[in-house]
Amino acid sequence: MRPRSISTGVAIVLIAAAVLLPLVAGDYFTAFGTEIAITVLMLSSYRIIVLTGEWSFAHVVLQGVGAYTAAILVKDLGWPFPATLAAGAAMSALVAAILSYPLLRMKGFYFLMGSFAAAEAIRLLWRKIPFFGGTRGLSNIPAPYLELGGVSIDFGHTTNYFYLTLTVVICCLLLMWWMEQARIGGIWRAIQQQDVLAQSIGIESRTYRRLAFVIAAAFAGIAGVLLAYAFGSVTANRFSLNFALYLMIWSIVGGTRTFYGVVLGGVVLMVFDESLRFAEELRPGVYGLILIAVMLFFPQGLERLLAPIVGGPTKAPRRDVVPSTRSENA
Amino acid sequence: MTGILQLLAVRKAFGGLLAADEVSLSVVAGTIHGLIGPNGAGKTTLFSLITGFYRADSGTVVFDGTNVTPMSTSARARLGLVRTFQSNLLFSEQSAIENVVSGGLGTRSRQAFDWLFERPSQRAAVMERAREILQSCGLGDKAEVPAGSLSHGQQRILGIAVALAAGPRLLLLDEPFTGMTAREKDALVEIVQSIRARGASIVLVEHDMRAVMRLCDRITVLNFGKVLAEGTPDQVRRHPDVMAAYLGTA
Repeated sequence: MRPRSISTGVAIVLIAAAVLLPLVAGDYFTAFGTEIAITVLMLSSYRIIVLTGEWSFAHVVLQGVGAYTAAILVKDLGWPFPATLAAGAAMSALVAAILSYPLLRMKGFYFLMGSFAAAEAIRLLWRKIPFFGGTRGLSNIPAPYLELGGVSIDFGHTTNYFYLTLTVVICCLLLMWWMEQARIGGIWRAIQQQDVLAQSIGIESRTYRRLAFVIAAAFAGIAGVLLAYAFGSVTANRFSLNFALYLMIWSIVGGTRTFYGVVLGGVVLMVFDESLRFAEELRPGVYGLILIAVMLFFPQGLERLLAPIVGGPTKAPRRDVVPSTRSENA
Repeated sequence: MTGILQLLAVRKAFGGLLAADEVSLSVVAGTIHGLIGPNGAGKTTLFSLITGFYRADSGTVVFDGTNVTPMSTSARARLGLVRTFQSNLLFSEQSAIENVVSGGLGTRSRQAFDWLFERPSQRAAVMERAREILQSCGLGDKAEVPAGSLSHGQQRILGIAVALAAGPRLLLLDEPFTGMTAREKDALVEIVQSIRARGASIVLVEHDMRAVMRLCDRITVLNFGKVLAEGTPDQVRRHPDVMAAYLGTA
């Protein structure tokens, strides 16, 4: 069997496992499954930015933009779920587009720091402005409800909402996978591998980096909307630096060269995270140890363990785990 | 005689160092134009000014009737002004053929949204063209080899193949012969001639005088950021100022 058909097979098995989860697990683990699905969406959209060679701290806050947008629209204006989903994505993309003008004048470490500053500014606004609920955030977000020809589905039900999330996430993953195969995916890789060469052959590097940042933000916005309904509430602290760091660590542990790498890292570490719930204060330390171990023993991430089975890169050159301090247009 | 590239009094200073001092020159379409001079004469700076990696302090760069002075590097490349690099800049994680395919990413058909909706049939045509380019550069049997595993000489030629994929009308080669074996140099001379035969003009910065004299129709000699002499290889070779610049005055 060719690697391609094997990876398709693995994807189908994973999706089947996800579909069957609520049948074998209780509400608690089904809700956890919803969280994993949302995180997978966050990680795979984060990877779009990483594809262009940048690491960002702003991605989680852009997810928050989507979450707040949905919460406000459904609570104050009673918008239906699909409309809030689209609005959340659009608002995150818009905020990212505005941020991209100052941020993408920088690269590497400077971009990382800039994204952190911009993200914290937005997050602190949520905490200070009463419209966003201040430190308590927005709560009592009504669950989506669907009425179709006499049949009504209440997505307040854990299992139903899990399936709704799963559907949205899989559609988004397919869309991202498709983009990566299209020419734009090639352009992003070209920019990541050799920015100066990419410019010399006619690729307007900053335009495509901006496009990646904005598209990734749109998907983060969708993840934010899904999160808002899942928890029924939105608070600024859910989008703090901690979560931005987790996103980064999960990406590095999983590996960012392949589509399944980040998914793998996310699922493995979230399950791990959950099992550490009894020892909350140990978590950061354990994460540090995992990160060091992975960088020592699997510098390409966990995806390298699967490469012989699923295909993908067998020989991978060095990757910039720590953003380098390249200067603009060197 | 039409000039495909014209530099009009281009000036660029780095602090107190004048790297390009009111340089004017004209490259005739369909020719191979050499750019030589001692180390530090400003050849590579001039290259970067032509391709937009640097912006000129003053002066104008005209490419095929278009004033490209305010344009970015990538915009100039899309007009057909493409360069190679002194160092082996390649998409190092990709194979030779993937490198050439990537070389065409910025300049392939530019209909709206085709970056998102490229059809598989187009992909086959793209691969076919990439294969042709590799073949014409003598790398046909290295298509699947990772770029980083090629020899130095092969990497230099792959760099040219990547540039060719972008469809240049004027190709700027920055010291392409550096570090090559005699046999590789001979092969590269033929490749450069075949590129010209297919209609592209070429500007060549090179220290290897044998290659320069064999290839170039016209040569411009730079020294300390200034044009020292210009003419056919024979004229330049006999020019007293050129001899003084290279060998020093007695």
